[in-house]
Parts: sequence; structure tokens; C-alpha cells
Amino acid sequence: MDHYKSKKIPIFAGYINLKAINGVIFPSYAQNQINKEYITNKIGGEFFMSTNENTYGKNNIVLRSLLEEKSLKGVCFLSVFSLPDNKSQRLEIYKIALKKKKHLHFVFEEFSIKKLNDLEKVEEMFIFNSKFFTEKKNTLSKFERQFLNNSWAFV
Amino acid sequence: MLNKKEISSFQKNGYLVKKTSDLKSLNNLQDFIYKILSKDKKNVPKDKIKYFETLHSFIKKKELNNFRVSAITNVNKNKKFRDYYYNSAKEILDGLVGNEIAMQKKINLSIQIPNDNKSMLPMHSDIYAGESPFEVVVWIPLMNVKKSTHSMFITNPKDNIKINKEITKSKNKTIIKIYNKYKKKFKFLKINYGEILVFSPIIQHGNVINTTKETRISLNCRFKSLLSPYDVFSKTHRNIPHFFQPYIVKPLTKIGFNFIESVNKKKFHGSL
Repeated sequence: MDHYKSKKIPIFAGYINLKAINGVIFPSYAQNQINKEYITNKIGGEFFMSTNENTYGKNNIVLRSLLEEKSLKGVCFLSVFSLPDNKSQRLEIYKIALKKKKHLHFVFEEFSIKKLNDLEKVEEMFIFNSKFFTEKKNTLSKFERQFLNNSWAFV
Repeated sequence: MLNKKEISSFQKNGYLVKKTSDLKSLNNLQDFIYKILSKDKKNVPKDKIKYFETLHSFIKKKELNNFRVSAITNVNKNKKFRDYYYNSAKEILDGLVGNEIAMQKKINLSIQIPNDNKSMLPMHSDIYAGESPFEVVVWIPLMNVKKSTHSMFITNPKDNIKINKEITKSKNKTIIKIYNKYKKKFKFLKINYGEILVFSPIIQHGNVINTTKETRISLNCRFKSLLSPYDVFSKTHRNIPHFFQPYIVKPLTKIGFNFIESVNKKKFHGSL
């Protein structure tokens, strides 16, 4: 008779954080739509809508609460950069997630944290959240000016 | 390796057409697209190029966009496809861009069936949409592309300077008026299967209605040096993680950035 039982669909929360992801702020409704689409179509889970992370606190209270929630299989983020900027706070989040066996999914990067070995790949991504990659380029330094040559001017 | 003549040609023309140094990877791209586009279709020619050229007789115009979107979704699901793509153009990218690479997250598929007025892309420079002048577009045809409306059009750096000035400064002219004025300064490119087109997105380019009797199928994807600027003058989404993905990251880049992070976190006294 077992084959008549429908398989339980795992539930994932969509995490909403209103900080900029490399210069782009996604409104809550857009984050909800992106997370829902990813959870439903990519992970094959059921979407759970959560509240916005507290923009005033620095304790990631909404995220920590979601990780403590027994009914959830995991949490879906727009990006790795939606995680706390502070490394020790991130490590705390990973610790809770691994202990509670929660999966963390990242939509833009299309990868996830399910086990300890997955952490390195996610942490490596934080190189690309440094100013070198996120600051707008408007001027040239003295060093860069040595490369100026009109024959390479395309505009 | 690109030779001096090829680099000069890129400098003069703003683009380069060169045979791939990895035909096997290119053939893999072609095989993959053939499989996707022929799925659930009857009496499809076994000759891949023949099928691509006559694709319009296997699909209704109305269905084209859904067909294309579904194919693009399939392409981008496949990680190997990205490797085949990069390897097909690696020699040219090594010469023009470098070997530590950021790759556009989504590879695009273009299907230009005869007389389709919904797939036109008027003259434009990708820079206007916030793309980095440090990147190149790698454009790969999956068949022979004729020097006609079957292909895409592009101008050259010298004329691009004039056109760009007019586009960015004119107060009453439209894009189409400016295009018509400079029409003779654009050319359609002939590119044979096995060749790769690489161009600077700064240069004005686009396509018109394909008035030939054959469909054209091509792929395009953008590449840049990982450590070159992303948001130039305007802050947009053309960066990591929105538009680009780190594709090749060398160990010393990881060591260097981690070193800076450690000093900033005062793990030790690193300033001199």
C-alpha cells in the first residue's frame, strides 16, 4: 500500500533581506517571487513566505528563527551575499544550519549548503563582495593612465 | 595564440573572426542544440546544418519565442555546455582578455527565421545598458552565416566614435535615423561554421529582418577578465552575482584577497 502514499514535499522558507546585493536592492515582493519560483521549480519544494529580516538589528533574528523552525527543510536566499556580511555571524548561521540539518539554497549562484564541505565554495564567493568588485569605476589612476592610447579608443 | 596581425585587426575593426582551436567542443555545442531543437519534431533531417537552415518549416512563427526560451533554459541547465563554450573560444579569449575569467551567467541562443520581424535588434552598443567596456561578446554560429541579412551587422571603431557621439548628444534624431545616416558604415559579417566571432560590445551592432530563405542559429555570451572593472560609470546589475559568474579564479587571487581580509580584520599587524 506504500506506493499509494504521496511523498511529503519539503518546505523551504524564502529569506527576505533588503540590503543591496552588489548595488541592487530587490523589493520584498520581487524577492518573494524569485524565491518562490526557485523553491517550487528548481528544488521541488513548497514555498514558505517569511517576514523581512530586521533592518535595524544586527543579530539576524529572522534568519536564525527560520533555522530553528522544525517544519522547514531549509532556507532559500537570493544570493550568497544575502548572508550576514560579518564572517563570524555567517559562521554562526552555518553552525546552526548544519546542526539542525537545514539546507541553504542560493538562487543567483545556483548552489547550496547541505554539508560541511559546501562551506568553502560559499565563503570563496565573498571575495566578490569586496570593494574591488563592487565599487563603480569612474576615474583612472596614474598607473592606469600609462595604458592610454588613442588607437584603442572605440568611443 | 593570437598573432600580432590578428590583434591589430581587432584594434582596427573592433571584432575578430577566427577558426576555433577546439572544434570538438564546438561540435558538442552544435550536437547539444540539435538535440534540444529536434526533440518531439518529426522527419527532422539528420544533417544538423540542413535542419538548422530549414528550422522555420518545422515550427510556427507564433511558437518561436516559447521554443527559443525553452531551448535557452535547457542550455543553461547544462554545466558542460559552459565548458564547451569557453573552450571553443579559449584561444581568442587568452589573446584578448586573459585566462582568469568571468563568464556571463546566461548563454543566449538566437534563432532568426526568414521574414520574422519580431526578432530584430536595432543598432545599439551594449555599453548603453551598463555593460563593461572590459568585456567581449563571443558570438558562435552553428552553421555557415552569409554576408547578408542572414548575419548581424557591425561598424568599426573609427565610425563608432562618430555614431556614438550622435546617439549620446542628439536632441532630435532617433536611433533609426542615425542608423540610416550611417548605414554604409555597417557591414554584415560572413562567418563559417567552425569560426568564432569576438567583438567589443562598445561597437554599434544589431540585426535586421532575415530576408534570406534560411534560418540562422547562433549563440552569444560575454566574457571579461575576472579582475577588470564591472560597473563603469554607472552602477547596474552587470556584475557578480547578477550578470557574471566567476568562471576561472586563479589560486593567487584567492590568496591575495584573503590576505587583505586578514589584515583588515586585524588578525595580524599587516600595514607597513
